[in-house]
Parts: sequence; C-alpha cells; structure tokens
Amino acid sequence: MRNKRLEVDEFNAQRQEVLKQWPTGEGVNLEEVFTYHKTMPREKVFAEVLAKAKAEGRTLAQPRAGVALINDHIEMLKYLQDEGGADLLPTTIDSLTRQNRYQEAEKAIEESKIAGHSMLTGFPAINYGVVACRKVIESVNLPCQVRHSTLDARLLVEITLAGGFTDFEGGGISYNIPYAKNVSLEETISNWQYVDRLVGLYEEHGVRINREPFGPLTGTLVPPCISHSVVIIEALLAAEQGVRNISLGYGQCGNLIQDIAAVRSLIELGEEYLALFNYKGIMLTSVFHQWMGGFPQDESQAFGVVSWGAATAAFAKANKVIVKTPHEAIGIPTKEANAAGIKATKQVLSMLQDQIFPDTPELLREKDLIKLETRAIVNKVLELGDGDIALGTVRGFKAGVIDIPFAPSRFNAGKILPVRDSYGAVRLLDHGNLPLGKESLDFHRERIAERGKAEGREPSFQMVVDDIYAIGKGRLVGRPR
Amino acid sequence: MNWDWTKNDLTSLKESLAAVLLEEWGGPRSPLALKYINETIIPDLVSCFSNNADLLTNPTFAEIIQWKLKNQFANPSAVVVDLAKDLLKPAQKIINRPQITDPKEPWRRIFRLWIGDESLPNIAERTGYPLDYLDLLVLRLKKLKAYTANTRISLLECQQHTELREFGFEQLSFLYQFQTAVAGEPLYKERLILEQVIWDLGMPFQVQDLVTLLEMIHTHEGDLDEDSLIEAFGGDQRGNLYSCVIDGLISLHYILKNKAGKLTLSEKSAQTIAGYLLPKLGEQLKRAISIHDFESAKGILLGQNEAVLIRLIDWTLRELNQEQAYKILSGIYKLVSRRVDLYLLKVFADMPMAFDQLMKCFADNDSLIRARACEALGHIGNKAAVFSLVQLLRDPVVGVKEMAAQALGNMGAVPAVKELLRVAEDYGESITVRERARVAVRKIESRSGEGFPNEK
Repeated sequence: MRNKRLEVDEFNAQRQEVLKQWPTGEGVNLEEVFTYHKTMPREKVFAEVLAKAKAEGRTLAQPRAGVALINDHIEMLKYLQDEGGADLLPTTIDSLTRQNRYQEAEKAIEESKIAGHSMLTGFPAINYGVVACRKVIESVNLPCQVRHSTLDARLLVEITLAGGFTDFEGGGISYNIPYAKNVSLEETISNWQYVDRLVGLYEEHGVRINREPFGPLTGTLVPPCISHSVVIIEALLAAEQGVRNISLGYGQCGNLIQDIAAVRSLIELGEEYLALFNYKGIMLTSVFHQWMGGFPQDESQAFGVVSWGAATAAFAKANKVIVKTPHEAIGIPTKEANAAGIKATKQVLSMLQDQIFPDTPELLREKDLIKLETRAIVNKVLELGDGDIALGTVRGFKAGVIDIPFAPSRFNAGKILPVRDSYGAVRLLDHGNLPLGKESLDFHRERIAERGKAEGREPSFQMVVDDIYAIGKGRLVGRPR
Repeated sequence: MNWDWTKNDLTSLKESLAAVLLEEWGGPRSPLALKYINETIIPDLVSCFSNNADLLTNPTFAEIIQWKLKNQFANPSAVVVDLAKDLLKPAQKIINRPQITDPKEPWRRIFRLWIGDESLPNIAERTGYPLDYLDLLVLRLKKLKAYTANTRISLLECQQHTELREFGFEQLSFLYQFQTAVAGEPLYKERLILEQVIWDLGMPFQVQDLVTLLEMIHTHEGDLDEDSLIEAFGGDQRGNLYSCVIDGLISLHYILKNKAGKLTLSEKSAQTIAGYLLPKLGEQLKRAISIHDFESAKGILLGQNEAVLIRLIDWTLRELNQEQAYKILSGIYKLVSRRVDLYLLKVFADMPMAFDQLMKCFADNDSLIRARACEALGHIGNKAAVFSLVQLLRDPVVGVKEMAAQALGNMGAVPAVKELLRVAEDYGESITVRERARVAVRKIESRSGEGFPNEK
C-alpha cells in the first residue's frame, strides 16, 4: 500500500478484469470516449462550471436524485433543471449497484418497468451502460455528477465517465469507513486509486473530470478537523493519480461561525498540503452539504433547516451547496420536493450573494483552531506512514489518530465522542487518540463544561444523543426540556 | 408450549447483541459510549425483541428496528439495514415462538393502541417502537385522509399519487383499509379496543366473549360479585378462564370492584361497550315511545351506566324527533349526576322547547349549571331571557358572567348594551369578562347596524 501513481501495466491489467464485471463494461472504448468528451459544450463540463463560479464568487446549487427507469430519471433531471432551477445535476446511484449486485439491479429494473415506477433507490448506471448514460447527459443542459457510496466503484467510474458524466464523488476513506463494517482501507484505497488513475488518464487526454471526496462522512456531529483531514488525504491520493480538479466537501454542523470557518479553512488547508507534495495546477473548490442529520417531519420546519444551510453556504462563499428537501424525514423526496428545496436554497443564496460575513475575532479563532487540529491529524498520519499518506492512513485509523465519529467500520477506532457546546458548535467530549495539542483540548473542555453548567448536568452520552436528534425536534443544541 | 423467554434466553440474547454491537460492528467505543451501549441500547433492544417475539422475522418489524437504530441510537442511516439484520439474527435463533410474517401486523398493533386513545409516547413505551416511526405513521394516515377526504378514491388511485406511493404498497393499503373501516364499519373502533384488551390480558378469549361479559356486568352493574358472574358463565366448566379474565380486567382497570365486592364498568369499558348496547337499548326506547310509555323510556335511560347513557342521549337526538327526545331527556334532568345534567344542558341548546327548563337553571347553586344554561340560551336566541342574562352579568362567578355576556352578544340583545358597556369599562372586573362584554357589544352592533356612543 503506497501513495504512488499506478503503473500503466498494473492499471491495464486491473482494467481488463474490471470491464468484465458486467457486460456493459465492454462498451467502453477510451479513445472514442475522449473524443466524445471533447465535443461536449463547456457549460456541461462540471469543472468548467465550477471554475467559472469560483471566479465569480457564486455558490451553485445541486440536488441529489436518481430513479430506476431511464425515462423517469431524465424527466426528473429536466424537472430539477427547468422547474427547480438547479445549477448542477446529480445522478444518484441505486443501492444494489453500490454493492456491485448488478444481477439483482437488472431484476429490479424489470420490476420497475412492470410497476411503472422506481423499485430502486437510484439510477442503475452500470446495467444501463454507456449509451444510456449518454442519453441522460444529452437530455439535459447542465453538467452531471455521479453520486453513490460504492466501495468498489471501478466499473461505475468506467461506465459513467464514458457515458459523459464529468464529476465523480467518493473516496477510499469517505466511502468506506462511514458505510461498511468490515472492508479494509487497503482494499478501498487501492480501488479508489484506480478510479483516480482513470480520471488522471482523462486529464492527460485533455478531458476535465472533477472529483469530490465525500466530506460529511457519517453526517453525525463530525468535527471539522476530522472531515477536513479525510478530504485532504483523499485529495492528496487523487492528485498523485493525476486528478486535477477536486472539490473538497464539508457537512454543515449548524453553528454559523464554525461552519463558515470550516469552509474558509478547507481550501487554504487543501492548497497547503497539495503544495507540500508539489502537486501543481490543481483546481480546488469547496462543497457545502446542507445538514446531513435528522430532519423535522414538518415541511415548514424542514424548509427552515434547508434555508439555514443555504445561508451558511452563502456566507461561507462555498462554491457549491448540496441541497436537501422538505421531505428528508419522510422518505425519498419527490421531484417536486427536491425542486422546492433548490428554490428555497437559491432564493437565500441570491439574497446573500452580495453580503459578506466579516472576519470577526470569533471566526478567526475558530478558523485557526480547525487548521491547527487538522494539521495535527494529517501530520501525524504522514508521520505514521513515514511520509506516505496512503500507508499513514491505514496506520492512522488503526491507531485512532484519525477517527470518524459513529462510523460502523471495524477499521475505525471509534474512540472520539463529539458533542455540541452551548452555542451549537461541535466539540470533542472525548478526543480518543486524536493527536491534538493542549490548547485545543483545553478549549474543547472549557466549552463543554460551560454547557454542562448551563444545563445543570454532567456531559454524557445522553447529551450526545440529544444533540444528534435536536434539529429533528426543532432545535440545534439538545438541551433537556 | 411455553413461549416465554427464559432467563437463559435473555442472557444469551444480551450477549449476542453485545457481540454484534461491540465485536462484529464498529461504532463509538469511548467509555461513555460503551456505558450507554451496555446500559441503555442493549437492554432496550432485549426488551423490544422479547415484547415482539412473534415478529422477529417480520419485514416491518425489521424496518422498525432500523428506525430505532437510526432515530434513537445514533447509527448512520447508511448502515441500519445491515445492522438491524445482524441484531435480529441471534434473537431469531434463540426464540422458538411461531412467527407472524404479515408485514401489516406491527401497524395493526400500533393503530389498535392509537385508536384506544393511547398517546404516541405511551405506544412507543409499550411496543418499544421509536416515537419518530409512530409520528410518521400517523402523519401518513393524516395525509391519506386529507387526500381521500369527501371523495371515493380507490386504493389504486392512491397508489398513483407520487407522495402516497412513497409509503410503499403494503403500508398504503393498510392505512387505506384502516381509514375506510374506521369511517364506515360499525363498531370497528370498539372491536380494535377490545382486541387490545384481550391482547393485554394474554388469554385465549374472543371479542364476542368479552362483549358478552361486559354486557352482563353492565346489565347487573353493582349487583354481581365475581363468583356470581363466573357462575352465570357456566360455573366450573370455563370458570378458571373467566376468573382469570375478570382478575385481568380488574388489574387493567377495565372493570371495577366496589367496596361491597360488586362489579361495575370503568368509564373506558362503558364507553367501548356502549356501541354494542345502543342497537338493543335504542330498540327498547323506540318500543316504549311508540306506545307513549315515556315512564318506561325514562326508566331505560336511568338504568344505564353514565358513559352508556351519554351515548344513548346522542342516539335519541339522532333517532327520535325533537319533541320526543326532549320529553324523555328533560325527564331525567337532575336524576342522574351533575355530569349528565351538564351534558343535557348542552343538548338542550338545540331545543327551543327547553327554554323554561334552562331559565330555571339560573337559580341553581351550581355555577357550571348557570354558565351552561347561559350558553344554551344564547344559542336558542329567545330574547325573553335577556333580562335574566343581564342580571347574571352581576353573578359572583366569573365563568357565569362570561357566558352571560357571550349569550347576550349571540342573541343580539340591544337592550343589554348599556349594561355590557358598564361591564366592559369596569376595571374591577375580570379581564376575560370585560373582553367578552366588548365582543358582545361589537356583535350586537354589527347585527343591529348601529353604533353605540359610549363604546371605546
């Protein structure tokens, strides 16, 4: 396990096996694919649109969506584009494809055709193959990203990129530790080196493909230093394989100051580490995910949460915001609910477009703290890997120096425990084995003690549970009633 | 066969759940988290699994466990399907109870409690199901109800509705059937409530058996003790079963034993059984009225348990003409209880012939009776009551003055305006009385089309 660019022979040998995993893999002809991508208008290329928004200081809105039947999927994307006013489009992949269960996905497509509606939780891109993916891409006017959570996404990236998608989400850590109970990091990092190498190959042939490590992780009170460390590590792994356009993701915690500080520090830290390893010419953009935890069931309350996410994204000047819907707590959102979420978000983004959130002392202190803690973690990971970020990641997770709260993976230490302070910012009640300095730890301790005193209770796991469900119950901090 | 979980079963289940949560899966491992897992999550799951031992292979129950893990125990949504499966596996191996795999069964259990007016937190506690899941289920029922309100939309049409389709066909069809039955099937609600009672008793008893037993207690309310009741149901033959059922019903407070050891219905059981009694009692009433035997009709009413009587009063309003209804209802006023009297006054508000009876109530020592009479007279609108109502604006009880003012406003009593304005401007008077007086003046003004000079 090394963070080293895959050799051509090694990549090609793997590729032959990957493309045989499902018959549609045979439809990928890279030479033809590169030509196809080069004919694509710039406004349909994710990295181009992101670069423009970054230059203009605009925040783009992107929903999540995907259904089993291709015509329904196209209709939904068009609806989100035309009615919702989305700036960027998604294609969320179904859960069977995410687990590489293509045979079952095939059956579910047939069942969906009979039922007349989707029997899958997303779009089964592998079963449909390259030509069908291109039909999706050619039916809309906006760039499309593949969103999934697939541990082994090698065939998925082959087919979807060949099918005209220009952005691919995920990473060897962010799509493993928060999702799987028993898959080693060696395995997923290696699989994702393949994904990144393929994207690198596209770049070498003049085709811009954006990559987006999944920042929110478990979506459960993830402190910024943890998600920052993960996405920076995945950015370094991607850059080594030749990826040149990377969006660093972050999931909203809820406290405005902490969230703005997190987004603003993310790109600075990313650039710092890419420079450290001499990766040049890489465009970094930021992605802000609206609240990923539990939502209120009441639609109006849910709109409140969506709008708060939009306001934070606007003040943080994130380049892209991933939009939630008023139906989050109820089930899979309808296209109407999805469009409503985009509209609410865009209204707020537009109103705040020209407003600037100033660098207040609190904001600067929070930003410094996030940087200090992220550097402590990433540097320790590098130290454990003797300078190699891939090896260091495996060793770092084992040692708990990088640790994702509430992750189901046995390869995650699970020793840290986050909780909100009195102002709603996520702090560390138990820092486990994170290599944080005394200054940081004292700060976390003081802030949590302040809350405990205000609530007249000892900080406990119950306090953590209260925080996790607070937004769903109409609050940010899970105070006892 | 003994279907109860043994102590060994529970210990073994606890160990297996701990192995799944702490060895097989990752997750929080800080000392505080471990304490919570061991002291809260595992005991809760053990209790939930043992309370639902016949649902361990039920797909809806698996979904409920997923909700529990996600919405109660902080597991990320991406993992709950597999984690729930892994947690249910050891329980399925340990327990040997026959399984109900019908996906609708857990919903049936939830709505059986819900229709019996159990609060959602109580249902959550009794079933072990997460509150959010129950909330969502009720929300979905309301959505379906709103969509199908005043229409004859079929289930298949509901299935075409994008939002309703998201419930899944099984749940949608369950909710559709439930709502249809509640709205249109006689005694459906009562039957569900009695099914729940039988479920709580945990005995091999049929709803009809329970109805017969409760009817018997109602007919001889306060006369029969436990032994004579068992005797009435066949003595030794099924005596043990009935004895257990009666003890169970007493412990559930479904029937009560008075100081003399005689059995009576509780409020809840009387309300439930009333639906079954009404057709018979109604028939008796109709028969008595058809031969103008109002004394017998009165006797039938007076022979009922209060909760049953109130349902029977409603029945008379629906089934008899107003004159007949008033004749028998006025006959029982002041003969049963204050609660029944107050209910009758409410009923009299729709009966102009009750005017004299209501006027007499103004002299009652009970302020609630006076207030309710004011309310009823305001509704009837006979202005002959104005003078008395104006006098009641000086009643010592705030509630009576409020209702008198409101009644004067409702009947548009112009002669009362001066007195109402006095009350409205009296700073020594209660704020609510003054407010009611102001509203009354505005109402009278709008009805008469005049303005009153002193009004502020």
